[in-house]
Parts: sequence; structure tokens; C-alpha cells
Amino acid sequence: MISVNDVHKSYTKNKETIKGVSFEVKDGMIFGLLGPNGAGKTTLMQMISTLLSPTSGSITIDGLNAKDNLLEIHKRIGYLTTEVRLDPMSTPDKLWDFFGELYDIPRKESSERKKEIFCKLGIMPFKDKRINELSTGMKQKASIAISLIHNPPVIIFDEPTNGLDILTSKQVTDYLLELKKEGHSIILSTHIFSVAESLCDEIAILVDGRIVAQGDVQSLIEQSEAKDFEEAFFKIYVEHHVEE
Amino acid sequence: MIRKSGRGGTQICGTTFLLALGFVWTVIVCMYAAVLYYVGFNDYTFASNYIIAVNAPDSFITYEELNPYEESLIFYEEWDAPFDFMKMSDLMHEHAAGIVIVFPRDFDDQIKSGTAPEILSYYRTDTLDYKGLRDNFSDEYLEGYKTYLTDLYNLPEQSDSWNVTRSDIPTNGDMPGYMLFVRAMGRNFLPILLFIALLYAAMANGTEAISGQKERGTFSRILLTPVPRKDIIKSFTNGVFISASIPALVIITFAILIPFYRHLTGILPLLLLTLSLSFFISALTVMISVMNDSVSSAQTAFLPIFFILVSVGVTCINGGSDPEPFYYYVPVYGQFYGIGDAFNGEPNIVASIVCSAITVSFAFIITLISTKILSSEKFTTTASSEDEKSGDAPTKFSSFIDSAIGMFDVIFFPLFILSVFQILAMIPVAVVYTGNPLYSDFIADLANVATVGDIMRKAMEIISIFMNDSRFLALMSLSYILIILSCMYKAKGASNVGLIRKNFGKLYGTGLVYGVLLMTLVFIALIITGKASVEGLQMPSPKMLFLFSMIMWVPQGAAEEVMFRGYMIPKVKSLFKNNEKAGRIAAIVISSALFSVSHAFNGGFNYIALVNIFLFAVLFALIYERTGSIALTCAAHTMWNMFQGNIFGLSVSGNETVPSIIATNYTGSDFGPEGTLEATAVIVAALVLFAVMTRRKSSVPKKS
Repeated sequence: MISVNDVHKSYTKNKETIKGVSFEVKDGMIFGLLGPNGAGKTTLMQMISTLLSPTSGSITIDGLNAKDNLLEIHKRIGYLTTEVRLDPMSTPDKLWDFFGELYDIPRKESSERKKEIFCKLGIMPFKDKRINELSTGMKQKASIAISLIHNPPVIIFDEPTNGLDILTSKQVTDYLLELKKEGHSIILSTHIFSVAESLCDEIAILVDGRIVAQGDVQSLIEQSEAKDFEEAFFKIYVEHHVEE
Repeated sequence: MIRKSGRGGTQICGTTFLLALGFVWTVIVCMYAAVLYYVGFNDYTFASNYIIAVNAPDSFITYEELNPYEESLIFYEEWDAPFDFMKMSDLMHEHAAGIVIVFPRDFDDQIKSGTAPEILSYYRTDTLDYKGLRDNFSDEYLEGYKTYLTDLYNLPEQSDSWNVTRSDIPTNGDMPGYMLFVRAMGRNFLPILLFIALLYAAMANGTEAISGQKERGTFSRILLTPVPRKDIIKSFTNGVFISASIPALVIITFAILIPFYRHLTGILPLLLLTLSLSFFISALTVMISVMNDSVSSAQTAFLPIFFILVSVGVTCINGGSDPEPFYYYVPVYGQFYGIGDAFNGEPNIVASIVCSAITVSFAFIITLISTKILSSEKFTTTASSEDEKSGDAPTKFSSFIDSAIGMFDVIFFPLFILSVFQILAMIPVAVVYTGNPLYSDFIADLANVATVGDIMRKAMEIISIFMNDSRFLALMSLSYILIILSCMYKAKGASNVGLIRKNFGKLYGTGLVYGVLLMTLVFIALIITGKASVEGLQMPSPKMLFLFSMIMWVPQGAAEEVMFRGYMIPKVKSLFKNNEKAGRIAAIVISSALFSVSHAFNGGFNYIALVNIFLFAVLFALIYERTGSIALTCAAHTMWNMFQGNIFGLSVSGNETVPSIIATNYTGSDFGPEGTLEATAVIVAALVLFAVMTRRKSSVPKKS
């Protein structure tokens, strides 16, 4: 359960990147953040994952805030973004063990879970290869596996299918649906409409640091009187975007 | 926690290089041992607490059998003639003894009759601990003997049953210079070596630790784990601490093996001081690493600290041997003086412990600051998602800093390894030379070395003297090969330092011919202008020296070419990515200027030599540019020096002349032919010829 209340964020004094955002993600739900580049998706995600702190407003995860319970939150969230990379000289297998230790997972439990996730995501064939020898898709799969090492109830994925081919992308989305069924609350950002359409229970469209529309796919299409979701997005975007 | 520090913390790639240096040091030490074995142990070095008793009475011999003096041997001598210092000195050298004690012939009779006999005792002064030895021997051992005698002959208790005169013998004339030299080494050279090793290893690993992870984008993932920030800092500090301490400990180990360090009592303060300094520097590097987003910016920030700490060392060297006691308690100063004293066997244990404690508490404070910094958002995330933040494009300034660092690397590295290997080659020979009275003045003068300039001047004088020693030439040959190897290691491959297999033999052969031609032209020019005249042919002698110097020019020429052409030119060029032409010109000018300046400390250096060597380097750089290989210039360089020294009997770059085939009467510049205008003429002619020839057949690979 994630709740975001009237969050503002500004990097420099005069310019606000996030201008008051509020939403809630319940357990067992996939929440999608959709928006063009520069809308503030990554900033928002980083704030939820505690890497940044909001200028004002509050973010709580299962009722905990980052100020008082930072480490507790870290145990509950799994964060994935293209910026958070894996050590290029290490292997998926070694990295798993390394992070397993950092998360204080008992060794036996860790190796069982490793086997399970590596099989599910198809990492087994390249688990002993160095990260810098892997393809983009392989890297992304390894990243996803490491992010979920501690079986976090809250999953924050920034563009998880970015740069993946259809097959790999399918593997990933299937796995996300499985996680959702297990009761994880998932928040993901994407700009691929098909992913958003097929995965998300609720979608928020972020334009210039504000949520301009929110709801499930169907209601968004109806709201903007469009044929399909893609057209709905463009309509909403044009309506709210202000050129500076 | 150490395991948790991950690759960033315990990466030892930079340390490998230092370990390699340590390995080289081992090799040198073994060679040194071998040299000592053949030359014979030099008793100045190992003056022990052996004792010589002259005309010892029977009672003393029995006493000695009952109570051996510590672990030493006592030699008994008989001697009737009057004693003089020369005799004393010879006796001591013969037995490597520290004490001579002379009894009167009729000692026992005198004791029995109640007259107080005169005992003469002599102590050599060139051992570190001769005072301790003297006091120990005459106060304790002889007192024991006195009690023994009193019991033996039932003498009445009386306070002065004999008189002992003590005389300190300055062994072998005025030879305490050796010990002064060793002390200066222990006080100055070893601590600064330790400082540099620590700083280098900390810089190689520490600046990379967190900032490197930030740069690669792997750090956020560690931040997102439920590991407290203070543990993150702690583990990185531990990792850097370990990788910085390893080379330092290697150096300490080898310093103990070679006899600068003779007192094991100093080992505790030595380790305490070294490890506390290592911890302090690690904490400092990690703090810098936390505050920076990229390795290069962290290194830039570290450089001033590097220089400050090294200059603290230099001020300690310049400050002389008696610092104010206050400094022993100040971190860094305390370490420098304390390590020096510990190496000399005079540790101040209390000061070492206090200083280490202060240093460690400073380090803890720095660690706390780092933790605070890591908790502030500004330093945890990198300015990564360029589309959402007002991303700072790389400014002109930051690219300037980058190229400044690159430049530092280019300039510093070859000179650094050159001096390291020269010093390494010098140590064993220096130790052998200390026994030679011919150089005692020179060695005694080493104790007066106070400033860095003095050190440079002395080092060059030593090299100049050593050029007449075939052992040194053999060691230098080895060093030059190691220099080539380390350049190859640094540039990651032989082809990156201009050693290219293609056409190697052909180019090398051509180079031999050109080298001989150029030198012969210079020689002829010198004869024409009357600065040199041939006195006839001779059998070069000593033959070994002739042979070794002939051999040495091969790796010597190759090493200088690798350093100043093969390694440096591509490195400088790579700093000018955008402007190829400017890069080429800068590369040629910078490498040639450095080549010229690196000769500036040689004897007899003058401005003509500066210009000549610069032009020489430019010619070679152009040839390298033309052929893409240093084969030709290696050969030419070798032949130039070989013909200069071994054939024509001229001084090579201001060093002493080596045995030569042609006996020459030379009256030109002290620096040798490079210091004369005749050489300028030849080199300029060669440059013009090169320009003309390359213009004419620009499509064919050039060879001159």
C-alpha cells in the first residue's frame, strides 16, 4: 500500500518538477504512471523509493514514512530503473549472493529463491556470465531478479520493458501479473501503451509534473471521447501541456 | 562487513602494480644478497657485539666459561707490543667485534697483591647501539667479574679494585658516515616511500569506491538495501584500508629484511603508526569519494591532499633530525617522525601510541562526517535522468580538469618509474660501496643532505660514480627491462608503446646504421673543430665494465624510447581528441621537452645540451610518427650512446666515461658531445634531411 499526498519537488528554487501529486496504490494492484519524457515520472519514482525526498507533502508505504523508518521501508520495496545498474564486472549469480547478504536473507532461503526466480525469468543459462557480456534484455532480467530478491510487498518498476524484445517483454509482464496475484502492490512507469493497457488496473497520466487524468483504461477512453487508449492519451496530453 | 563492502571497496587493481613493485624489490634484495655473498660481508654493516679479550688472565677465561656474555663469542688474543688505535681497528675488523678489552699481563698478580690494575677497553662507534653495548658490558659484565674475583681470592670489599678506561674508537678513520647514511635512509627515504605507497594505493582504490559506483549507477541499489548508511561507510573504509595497507606492509617487510632496520623493538610502534595513518587516509579518501559523482572528480579532489601529505613528508625531511617533541603527537607529522625513528630502532613508544590514538579518532570523526554526507540527498543520487533535471553539461572547466589529470598521468608515470627503478638498482650497489674508503667522503656527505634539491644532486652524483661499476650496469639493465614492462602494463600491451612486430627487424637494423652514422658525424665534427683528438686505439679496460656497458645500452635506449616516445606520444595525443594536428604537435613538444629536462640533473648540463637533446627527441618523435614503431629509434638511441661511450670514449650525457676502444682527448663541454654546437649542427642537418626525404617520398614509410 503506497499513498502519495500532495507531493511537490523542486530541484532549483524557481522551477517545480512535481507540482502537487496525490494517489494511492492498494495491495494486489498494478498502478501505471504514463507520461512523456520530462514529465516527472522518474523523480516521482525516486521519491517513492526514498532516493529523493519531497520538498513538501508526504509519501508513506504501509503507513511508514522515510524519515522515521528508512530501513524498514527499504525492506519492503523493490526498485528497478534503467539508471540503477549492476556491477559490470560481476555475474548475476554473484550479485544475487552479494545482495542476499545485504538484505540479511538466510543463505538457504536465498539460494532456493534464486533458483526459482532465475528459472522463471530464464536467467539460468547466463547466470555465470559477466554483466558487461550480457545483452540489454539479459541485463534487464538480471536487474529485475535482483530487485525482487527480498520478495518485497511493494514493487516500483521504472520502465521495466524498456528496450526488450517482445518475447522477453512478455516474460516480464507475465511475471508481474503473477506477482500481482500474490498480493504485491506494483507501481510502474511506462510509455508503451500496450503494456499499460494490458497490465495496469489504474493509470495516471502525468504531464508537466501534474496528474491530469486518472482511472482505469476504459474510463480514460470514455472521459476523453476517444476511439482507443492511444488517442485518449494524445488528447489528454495536448489539452494539458503548456509550452514554456 | 568487509564482504559486504563489495567490489568497490576491496578492488585491488591499483594495488597489483604496487605488489609488482614489491616483487621487483624482492628480486633486487635476492640479488643484493648474492652480491654480498660474492663480495664478502662488509663488517661495517654487521658490526656485532663480539668481544676481543687481549692478554686475558685465567680467572677471566674461567669466569667467561661460567657466565657467557649474552650470546656473543669472545676471542682471546695475546699481544705484547704497545697498543695503538690502528691495531685496535684492525682487530675489530678481523673479528667483526664491537669491543676490545685489554688486560695487563700480570693482572691476576696485581689483583692478589691489592694494587688496582688498569684495564683498557675500546668500543667502536659506527654501530647504532654502541653506547648500550658499552654500558651493558662494563657496568654489568665486568661488575660481575669483579664480584667473582672478590670471592675467588677472598679480597676485602673495596670499591675500586681496578680502573677501567673507556675509549671510543672512531672505526676506520672517519667512517661513521655509513651509519649516518643508514639513519638518513631510515628517517627520510623509508617513511616517504611508505607515505607515497599508502597514498597511491588509497587513491587508486578509495577514490574509485563510492564515486565509481555512482558513476556506474550501481550505488543506488546499495543505498536501497536495509543497510544503515554508517555501515556502508564503514565497510568501504575497511576495504580501502585493507588495500592501502597491503603495499605498506610489503614495504615494511622488505625494509626489515634489508638491514636498514635492525631493532625489532620498533616493530610495534611501526605497525601502529603505519596502520593508523592508513586508516586515516582511507577515511579521508572515502569521504572525498562520497562527495563526488565520478572517479575523475574524486581524484581531482584527492590530488591536493596527496600533495599536502607528501609535502608534509618533505618538510619533515627538510626539518632535520631533531624535531620539536610536540610534532611527535601531531597526526601525519607524528607518523613520519615516528616511522623514521622506529626504522632506526629508537621508537618513542608513548608518543607512537598517543599519536596513533589521535589519528584514529580523527579518522572516526571523518567517518562520521562521511555518514552525515551520505545521508543528505544531494550526495546520494547522481544527476542522472538528464531529461528531468537541469543537467549540467560538461563545462569547459571540467574538461580542462580531465585533461590536467591525464597530463599528470602522462608526465608523472614515466618519471616516477624511472626514479623508482634507478633507486632500486642503486641500493645494493650503494651498500657495497659504503665499505670502500674511496667514497667515504661522499657517503659522509650524505648525512648533510637536507633539501630535495640536494637529494636530486646526490642521486645524480651516485649514478655518475656507479656508471663505473659493472654490477650497477647489470642491475640497471634489469631495471630498464622492468621499466619497459611496466610501461607496457600501464598502456595495456606492447603495441600501445610502439613495440610493433611488423618490420621490427628491418627497422631495428636501419636504426643501428643511422645511430652509428649520426654519432660518427658528431665525432668527426668535433675532430674538425679541434675539441676532440684521437690518441690511438686501446684495449678497453676493465673488460667486464666495457662488456656490461655495451649490453646496457640496448635496454637503456629501448626503455627511454618506450617512456618518452612509445608511451608518452599516444597518451598526449589522446588528450586532444578534437584536434588531431594540435595533438600531434603537443605530443612531440611535450615528450621532447620532458626528455630534455629529465637529463637536466646530469653533470655538466648546459643550455646547448638542453636544446640539443630537445632537437634529438624531436627527430626521434618524428621518426616514430612516420614509422609508427619505436624499433628504429630504439636502435639508433642504443648505437648513439654505445658509439659515444664505448667506441669514441666520450662522456654520455654527463656521466663518467666508460672504457672505450678509441682513446680520445676531449676538451669540449663537460656534458659530452650533446653539450656542443657541433652536435647541434649534425642534428639540425639530420632534421632537415628528414624533412626533405619525407616530402619527396611521402608515400613510402620513412626511415631517417
